[in-house]
Amino acid sequence: MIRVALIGNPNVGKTVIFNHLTGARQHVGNWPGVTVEKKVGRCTHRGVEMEVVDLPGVYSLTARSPDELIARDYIVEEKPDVVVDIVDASNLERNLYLTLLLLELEANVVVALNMMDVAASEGYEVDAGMLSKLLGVPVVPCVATRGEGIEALKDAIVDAATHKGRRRVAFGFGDEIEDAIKRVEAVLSRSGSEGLSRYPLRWLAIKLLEGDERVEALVSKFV
Amino acid sequence: MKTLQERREESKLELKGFAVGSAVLGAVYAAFGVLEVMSVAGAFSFEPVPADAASGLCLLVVAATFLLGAKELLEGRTLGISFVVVGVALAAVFGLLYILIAVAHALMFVLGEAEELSLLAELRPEIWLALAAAAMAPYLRRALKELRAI
Amino acid sequence: MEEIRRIREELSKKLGEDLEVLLPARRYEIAGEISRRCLRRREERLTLTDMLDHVFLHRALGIPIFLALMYAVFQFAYSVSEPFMVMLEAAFGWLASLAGEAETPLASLWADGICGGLGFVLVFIFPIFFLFLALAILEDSGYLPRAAFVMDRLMYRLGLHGRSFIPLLLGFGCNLPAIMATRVIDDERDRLITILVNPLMSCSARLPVYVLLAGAFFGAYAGAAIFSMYVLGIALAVLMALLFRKTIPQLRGKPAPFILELPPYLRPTLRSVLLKTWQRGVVFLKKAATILFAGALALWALSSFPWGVPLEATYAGMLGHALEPLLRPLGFDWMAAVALFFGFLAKEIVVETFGILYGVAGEEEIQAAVAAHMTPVTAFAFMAFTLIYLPCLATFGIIRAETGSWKWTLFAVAYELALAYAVAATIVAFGSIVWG
Repeated sequence: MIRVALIGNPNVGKTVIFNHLTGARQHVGNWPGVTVEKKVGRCTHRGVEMEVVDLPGVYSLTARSPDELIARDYIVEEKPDVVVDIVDASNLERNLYLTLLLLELEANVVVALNMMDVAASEGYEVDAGMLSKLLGVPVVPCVATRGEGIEALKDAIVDAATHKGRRRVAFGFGDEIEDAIKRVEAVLSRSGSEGLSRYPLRWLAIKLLEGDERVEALVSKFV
Repeated sequence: MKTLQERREESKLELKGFAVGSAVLGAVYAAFGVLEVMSVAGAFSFEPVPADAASGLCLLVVAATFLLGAKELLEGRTLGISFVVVGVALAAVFGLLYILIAVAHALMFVLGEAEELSLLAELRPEIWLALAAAAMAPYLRRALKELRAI
Repeated sequence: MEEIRRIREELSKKLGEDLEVLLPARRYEIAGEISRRCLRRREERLTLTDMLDHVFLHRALGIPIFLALMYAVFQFAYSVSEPFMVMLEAAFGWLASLAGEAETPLASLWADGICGGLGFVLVFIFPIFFLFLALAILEDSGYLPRAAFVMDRLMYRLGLHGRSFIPLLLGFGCNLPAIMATRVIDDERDRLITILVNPLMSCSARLPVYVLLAGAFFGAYAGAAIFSMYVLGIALAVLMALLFRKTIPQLRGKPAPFILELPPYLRPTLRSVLLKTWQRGVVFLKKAATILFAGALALWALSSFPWGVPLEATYAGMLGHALEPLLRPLGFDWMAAVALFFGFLAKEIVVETFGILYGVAGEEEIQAAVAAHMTPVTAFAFMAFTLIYLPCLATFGIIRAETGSWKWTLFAVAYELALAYAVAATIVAFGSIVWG
């Protein structure tokens, strides 16, 4: 059985896609310790059983908002096999911000490029192939409200779960910042702590540079 | 499935249709605008046409909008349909305005403040001209959908 | 951990920016870059917004459409509010009658001061409400920036600055936020001119005066008369701005070119429109509860004491008669003079004063009473005078605050008084020539 997490900006059709994937096999609970709703469902495709978790709709993954923390913690601690990032094709730039954060987290991302119809009605065409090449992850165009692309999405999820290759990082922050990141990574690995090894090194370094309170607290414990 | 050529020809025909409709509406609005203004000067008197210079001028503005639209559409410029859209919108605004005023006048009559209520005077040209203009609305809507503007 | 902090600070200093801000910014740049490379415009397509702008911003048709819409707005506000005003007036009349036939100060305070004064002006909440409603619809639809654009274009051609009509347009509600809105104007000279000229844009507080007089004198043309005040205000604003720019040395210079962002047209939602209208209407109610109420009490006292004396001999009467010579050439009598005098506090007080003075004098039908003391020409002149003569106390304060100088504030008062007198005199002169 594979564990799949759904994430994306608010109002991108995440719930619609969740329903398409899980149908009647879903139940609602709460994330531990908070009043935020947690939806979990099941899906079987090509003989593979999937447990699908609907993460809260967020624009970013900072430590500031409870929703964002829930989403981030789930990805970092529970390490789902696949993270489906649902992107609104008619609002590409803003949605890709989250995608980039997920890639920093080194999650196994599959992008569901939803609302292709809205983009079309605004006169835009999105080149899913080019997007996939630039991001280094599979991109599946969908129009969830019409049910288009869902089967292809399921295929992509199963494929991604079974081929967890390491992508190249296709983009950096610029020389000075990358330099600093490498130096922080060095400090972290020098400490040789077991506790930190379960987290992606680069992600820790970036978060520390950004001054993320949660990561700082975490690292202080071990370093 | 229509060919691109067929689609282009069809839209040219539609434009002509709107041009004619717009020209007719423009002329009628202009006529009543002039009549309303003339009524003020005393040169014309007919109960359904109120003597109201300001309102007459507004009718002329609506007329100008329709006529400009007709002109651009006859020149073959699709953008001319914008004038027809705005013309119908303005017509609707004034139509609605005078309907509301008629209701207010009726209320005043009921309250005993007004001496008389003349249905003929209340159903001003602005109202039924707006209804005439509104007849174009469904066709406009369809045309705009085809142009993918809405 | 210490070392990490050091690395962070070093980087932050080197790049001159807080890393908390910089890293997300870089991510956005990358997101933007990626999306740019993946997006393609399908075809050049007409949007409804472009189509509407083709008409609303048209070189010839733009301004007439603006004027026609404004006329509809004022006609709507005036006519549709009439029945409601009548009903509320009757209610206040009944309330006043509760005091009975008694001739005591208390009874008079209730009947003439509160019901007759404050109550009388409260009736005008209806035209104000409907005006704000119509303006809110126009605002939410996205049309108002087009109106501003079209007027700015005209003003630019006249040698004035662009980008100032929006603050001026806000003045239709209240001059106070409108003057504060001039902060968006970069050029100090442009900004100063816009502030000086702002009070000429007829605010909602002046509407009761127009409604009262237009209703009394102009019958079916009341809506048009009120509309003409607003147009007069706009015209004078443009003219005075032109005049100031050409004559006052500190204000000379070429106007700044303007770029105006036009938001897309939207269908106004009922909720948003009602919310806006309520927010603005509430301002009037708050004013009523405070300054108008206090004003009513003060005015009642001034016009009732010394007690038992005929109206002309009370303090208010004495004040009026002192001021009257100044305003006699314009056809205004002493009561109008008192009303205008107290109008400095808040323009609504002009109407309130009429209510109280005529009420104390024993008049039932205030509108008819006012009508008896004026002619249509003087009424129109009075409306114009109210439009122009002074900024109200609150506006006075904000001009002083925003310009930071007493010189300009007092100049504003001075030129407005002079202009008001000149315009009113012209109207009266013209009227007497044409109508005798």
